[in-house]
Amino acid sequence: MSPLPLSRLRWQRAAAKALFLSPIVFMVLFFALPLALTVVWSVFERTMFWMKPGFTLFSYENFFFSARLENFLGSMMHSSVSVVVAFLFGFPVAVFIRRRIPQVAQHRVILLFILPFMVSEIIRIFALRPVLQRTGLVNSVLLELGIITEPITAILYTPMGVIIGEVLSFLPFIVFAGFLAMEAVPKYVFEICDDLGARPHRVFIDVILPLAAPGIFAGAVFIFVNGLGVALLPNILGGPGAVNAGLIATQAISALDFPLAMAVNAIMMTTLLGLLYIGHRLFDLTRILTPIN
Amino acid sequence: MNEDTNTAVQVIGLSKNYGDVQALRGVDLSIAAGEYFALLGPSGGGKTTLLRLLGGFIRPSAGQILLHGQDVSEQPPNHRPTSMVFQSFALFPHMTVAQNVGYGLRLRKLPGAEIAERVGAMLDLVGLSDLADRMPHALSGGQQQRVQLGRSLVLETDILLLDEPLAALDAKLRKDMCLELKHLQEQVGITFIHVTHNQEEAMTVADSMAIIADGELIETGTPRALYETPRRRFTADFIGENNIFTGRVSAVNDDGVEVDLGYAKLTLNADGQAVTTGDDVAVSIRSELVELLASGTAAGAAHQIMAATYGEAVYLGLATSHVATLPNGEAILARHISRGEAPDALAAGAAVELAWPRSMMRLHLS
Repeated sequence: MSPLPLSRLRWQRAAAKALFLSPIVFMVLFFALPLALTVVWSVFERTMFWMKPGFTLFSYENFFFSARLENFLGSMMHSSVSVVVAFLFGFPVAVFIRRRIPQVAQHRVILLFILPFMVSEIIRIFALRPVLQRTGLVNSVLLELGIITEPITAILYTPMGVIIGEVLSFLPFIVFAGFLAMEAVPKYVFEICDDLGARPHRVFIDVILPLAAPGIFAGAVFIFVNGLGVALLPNILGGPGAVNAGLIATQAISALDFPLAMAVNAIMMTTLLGLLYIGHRLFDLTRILTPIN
Repeated sequence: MNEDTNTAVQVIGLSKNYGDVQALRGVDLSIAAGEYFALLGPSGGGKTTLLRLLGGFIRPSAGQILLHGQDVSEQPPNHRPTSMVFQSFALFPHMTVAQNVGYGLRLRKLPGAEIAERVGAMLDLVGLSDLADRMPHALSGGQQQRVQLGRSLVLETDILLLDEPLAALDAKLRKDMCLELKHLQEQVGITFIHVTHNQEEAMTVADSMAIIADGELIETGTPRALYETPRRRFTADFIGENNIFTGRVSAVNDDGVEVDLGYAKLTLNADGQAVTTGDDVAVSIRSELVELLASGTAAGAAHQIMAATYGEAVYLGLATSHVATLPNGEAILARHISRGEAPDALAAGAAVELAWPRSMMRLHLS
């Protein structure tokens, strides 16, 4: 075979370089640019049906000096609770699958958790209404059993309802994340723990938690972000006191107040980046996210 | 049965089944306290199963395990006077060397100062004082195994179990670590039980050893005894390089036993084994005892002489292995220290005589 002509070699090298650049182009075009634009648009002036270029902080004023701020902070609170509850239910399932299910069957069991996603999210969430409502399944069963004398009304159209919805919607994700996180926990550590006589709670706190931290962190961030952003949940299950950032933005769009919707997005983004920064200062996320060799 | 405190391990009729597979079959074994004991055998032979049974990581299907006279068959690992060093570099990846070594003490809720002191002393012992704050991934394989040793020894248990501790190290390092292990054991004085499939490793470290294969305990003894006077044919085949002949006992008299191979007769000492005429037996002779004589050279009466056809020489560095063919077509090996003789001193197909001392032949009834 004759050597390739020099020009062709050079061309190939340039093509290879371009290939490496393509993710950067993609990220800028579809991620950084739209995010920057939301910030730009958030200071535009509102018109009757759209918005026009300008600079005004009216949308931010509108956000910070109204019930929206309270709702936003409330939804951060709910999302945090959802993260903790989903973790408490979901992570033990992930650990169980890793530790007790035969290796060959593990992925099949994990696949079962995908099944709920075959039902449209709106239907899945809406189906919680007949379960949780005043005359719903939960209340009628509890009344029938004589455990309660009055229907519980705190579990629907309330923050509690939203939390229940969030946990049920996002539980599979923490199972996935936990399952993947457990990959970072080698099997032998359990044998060392047996040999040293570590009780299950010590194994969990001293060994599983630190080793699985990156995956747990990823799962937690995912649930938190969705808890803040998915408008559907508070829309269907929430009430006056249970509105999240996503719903605030949706309502702003319905009211044709586009700059406000953009401002809500910008605020949410800034909040998340701020939280990540604080988390980084406290726990050094690069250390947590460095895969353990 | 021996119940005195000098026995660290006493195993009685120990069996372990996995479904239909018998990993271990009715093993009886006793190991003296303070001994360095090696479990040697081919892969999948059951030696690791035995070690894990001793450590309590698996439960026996039948039989008993006594450690220092106490029946621990149903006890979990941490209730046994044992501690384990695992095969792969099994350390907590998120803890420093010192934290890894000290974790067992932390679980025992010892005061921090005492933990620090004992960990410090242990790191001195295993030669890792300078690396106390390193993470496991920044250590070499040998250093990681030392951390494991430290983690186990710091608990001051009476018995240390080592599951192929050197298998993942390269050959040179393995040799060094073998001697280090041996000296460490002499220093701490507790019982070490070391599983390996590497013969040289076992012979380096062990005061005595057991051969385990196919779920059975084949033979126990000191490395020297197993090498020089194995009772079982399997041992002769497994340890060292032996020529093994199969034949039938044709006469038993005061001189010893005469074994008819069909093409030759061997006369040897039965070494106290009960044998009768007509028994099918095996005879072995170590290849380094077999001398290669050009045809017609005289050898003494104390020697067994056998005619063979020369095959080839295999140069192995320290030794050169000469392969010859017996009249029945089987190969026989004569291994000599390489002394720079010409490689083509003997031609393939040449008639040669092989000679070896009669007294060194061993009779195997099974």
